[in-house]
Amino acid sequence: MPPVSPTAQVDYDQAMAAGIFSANSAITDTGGAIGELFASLPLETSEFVLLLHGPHHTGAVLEDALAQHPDRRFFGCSTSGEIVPGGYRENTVSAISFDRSDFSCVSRRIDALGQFGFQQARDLVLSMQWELRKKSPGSNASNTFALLLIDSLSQAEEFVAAALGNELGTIHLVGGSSGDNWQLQRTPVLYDGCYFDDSAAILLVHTTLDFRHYNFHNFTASDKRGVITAATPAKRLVHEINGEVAVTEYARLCSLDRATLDQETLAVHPAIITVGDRAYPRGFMQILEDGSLQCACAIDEGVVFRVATQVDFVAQLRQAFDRIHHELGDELMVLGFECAARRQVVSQYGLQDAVFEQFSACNVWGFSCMGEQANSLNMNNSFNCLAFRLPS
Amino acid sequence: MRQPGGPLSPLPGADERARLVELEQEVARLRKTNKVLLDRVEHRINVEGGAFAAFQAASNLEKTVADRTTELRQVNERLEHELDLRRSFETALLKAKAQAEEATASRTRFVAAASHDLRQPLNAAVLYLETINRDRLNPADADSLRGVGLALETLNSLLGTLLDISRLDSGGLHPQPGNFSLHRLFERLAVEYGSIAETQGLSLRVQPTRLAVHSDVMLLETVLRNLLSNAIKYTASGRILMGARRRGDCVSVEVWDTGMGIPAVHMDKIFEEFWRAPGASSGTKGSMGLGLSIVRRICRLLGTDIRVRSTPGKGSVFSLELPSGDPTQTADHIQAEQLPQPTIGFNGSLVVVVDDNQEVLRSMARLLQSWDCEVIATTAVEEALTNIIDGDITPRLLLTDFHLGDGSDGIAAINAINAEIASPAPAIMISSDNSAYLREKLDELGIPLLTKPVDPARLRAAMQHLLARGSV
Repeated sequence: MPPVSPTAQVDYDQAMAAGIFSANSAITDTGGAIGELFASLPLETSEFVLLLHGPHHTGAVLEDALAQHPDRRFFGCSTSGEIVPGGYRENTVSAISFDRSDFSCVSRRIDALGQFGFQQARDLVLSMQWELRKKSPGSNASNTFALLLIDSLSQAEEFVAAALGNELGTIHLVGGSSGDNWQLQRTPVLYDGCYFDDSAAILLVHTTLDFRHYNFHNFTASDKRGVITAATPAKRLVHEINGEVAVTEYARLCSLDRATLDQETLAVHPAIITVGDRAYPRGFMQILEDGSLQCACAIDEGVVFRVATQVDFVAQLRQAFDRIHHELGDELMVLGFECAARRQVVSQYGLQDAVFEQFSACNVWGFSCMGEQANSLNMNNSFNCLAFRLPS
Repeated sequence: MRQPGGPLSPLPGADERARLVELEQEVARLRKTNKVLLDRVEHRINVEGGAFAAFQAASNLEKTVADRTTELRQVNERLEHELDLRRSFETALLKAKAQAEEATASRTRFVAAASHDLRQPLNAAVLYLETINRDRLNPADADSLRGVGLALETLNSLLGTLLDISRLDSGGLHPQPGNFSLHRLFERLAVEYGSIAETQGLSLRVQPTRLAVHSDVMLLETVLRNLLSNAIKYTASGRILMGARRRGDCVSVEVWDTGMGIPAVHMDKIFEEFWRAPGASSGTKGSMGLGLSIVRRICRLLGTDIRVRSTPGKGSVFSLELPSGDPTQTADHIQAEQLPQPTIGFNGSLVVVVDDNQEVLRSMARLLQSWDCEVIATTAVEEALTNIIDGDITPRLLLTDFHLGDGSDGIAAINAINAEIASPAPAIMISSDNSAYLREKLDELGIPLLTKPVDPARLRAAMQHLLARGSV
């Protein structure tokens, strides 16, 4: 066992004999945290490691620590909080190692995300599939998934997800947007041990484990509608709603007090865009001085949205996790990409105990995202995850 | 009263003015909203990057995919359900099939066992019959004796037929194809059936042939025997012709007769078990109507069809096609004919007979003694060994049944006896087991096999052959 400093808190994966090994370190010193994590993981048999960490760990120290293991592959990003089975963590480091016994992966880095297009997606996915099939001849759409980690400040999630999802066909794409504890300053992605801005890491992973992809949220659409009448889509800025200053009109529609309206309140009140009978929450991250709203996903002028109605957060989560248990059994590892706004809901309504109990029962590891990519869609306010049935 | 040209309404007050401004602002907002919506409807927006359009297209796609997935899941569930049903049907069918097969197998075993057991006393009777000195009988008794002999022969052939059918049904008969020339087989059958035909006032002509076929000689012989005896049975006058002709890569073996023929309505029935032509003479010897059903079964085993053409009142042709054989590769399958037939006596040669059936043993001992043999007859090989060791005697010949009691067999018995004597004695195996397995095994060991019931003439010939060879 590694030396554990008195201040450090280490969470270990519940099933250490499985194909996925995870640990979390609360040591604030980056080198110390990495040292502690790596000492507790079977790194020598690792196919790849996901490193999810608070923004202050971003930088050369971490890169140098990873350079000590040139044969291992590291991917990750800075977050707006880590998720471990015990609950939410902040400014910690989580390491999730996917063992060679059950996983085999190929990866690509996408730079200059704003220019990413359908042709590029096609070339990229084809070359990855070809490489993976060469590496693991038994891989096919049913035993392969795609993992995406993407710089949230690129604001390119819609295009990237749509283009990749389109090419991946029936292969599930699961991912999340990086974060920096809501500072919205710098949210780089870690690719092969180095940080890159305006980039994404895409992994095509073949696994022998049984797995499923889930995406759910706890909102439905109400009858109250609004129209975005002025916006800067490139920056996801909503200036006007129904011809009125955005924040003023949004507060009126949601029956909220404009004077006390802040980011935390907005987190609980996403707009809903309906497609057919499906409701897609679209979250607001920030109120600008001119009364514009910073959206967490693509918007446009002329878009009609509805005010959201919440259903019971805990009941909905429990129902979703019960389904996972039902479908995959009790020996689980859930790789979760959860919207950072949901963490705010949990803390605002004091739902920690009930929610963490669920995380623990499902062995959830992951992070709080600024956007969740599910197949070809970029979601907000959702819990997006891959659930693995662990080998016993 | 309203004055023309007068004011329509009083000037608005401050409240109304404020209300008007508010309404105008609302109209402006609504106009803007309306314009944006109309632009959107006309797809005039989406110029900047089109990220929302990507989302919208993707979400439409997701919905389609979700709908399809639901549909597929429903179809899948239905198929699963149907598959379950099918599986349960299949299980039930397999069970029923297994039961039916078990029933058939047990019937087949019963028939085989019954035929086998019936053959033992029959065997004994034939041997007893042979020991009767015919010269001393008066003509009437000699006639009766001949009648008994014929009856036993018929019984034997019926039992053989039953055994054949049960073997064919049990699937225990596997063809052993080889190359052989037809003329030897034809010659043999010509002699045998020629004399039978003659007694019926018919002539049997066999076309000389140089053709060879690749097939199982014993099974073909059974087929031809059945066809010939049928032809004789159902032909009142005229002749019967057996021949072979080349048909491409095959040889067609044919039996023609000038008999009563088969009406078209009976064509399908003639191959059924126990079916006999309505006009067949009731005295047809040993006929159970099994011949053609055996023929059809064997032809199936040989991978060919039995074909029939017939004109009622004129005659019938039965034919089967077999693959051509290589005449240079034909082996001589008929050894009995090659045995030398010297008419020497056995001069008190010591013969050991082992058979677990007392009746067979006794009749065999009497037959051998009538041929001037010394005989040790025993049901257990141990008893024979005791006699041999105690008396320090060397048997010249061993005659043993293959299936002895207690699960031991004739080969073991031969080995046990030969292990105790200085110069191993030749042996003859006697068995109603005519399986390919046994034949093969005995071929390897060079032990001739005689099938029960033993034809005394054949036994005598085989004994003479072996003893002559042994004395050289």
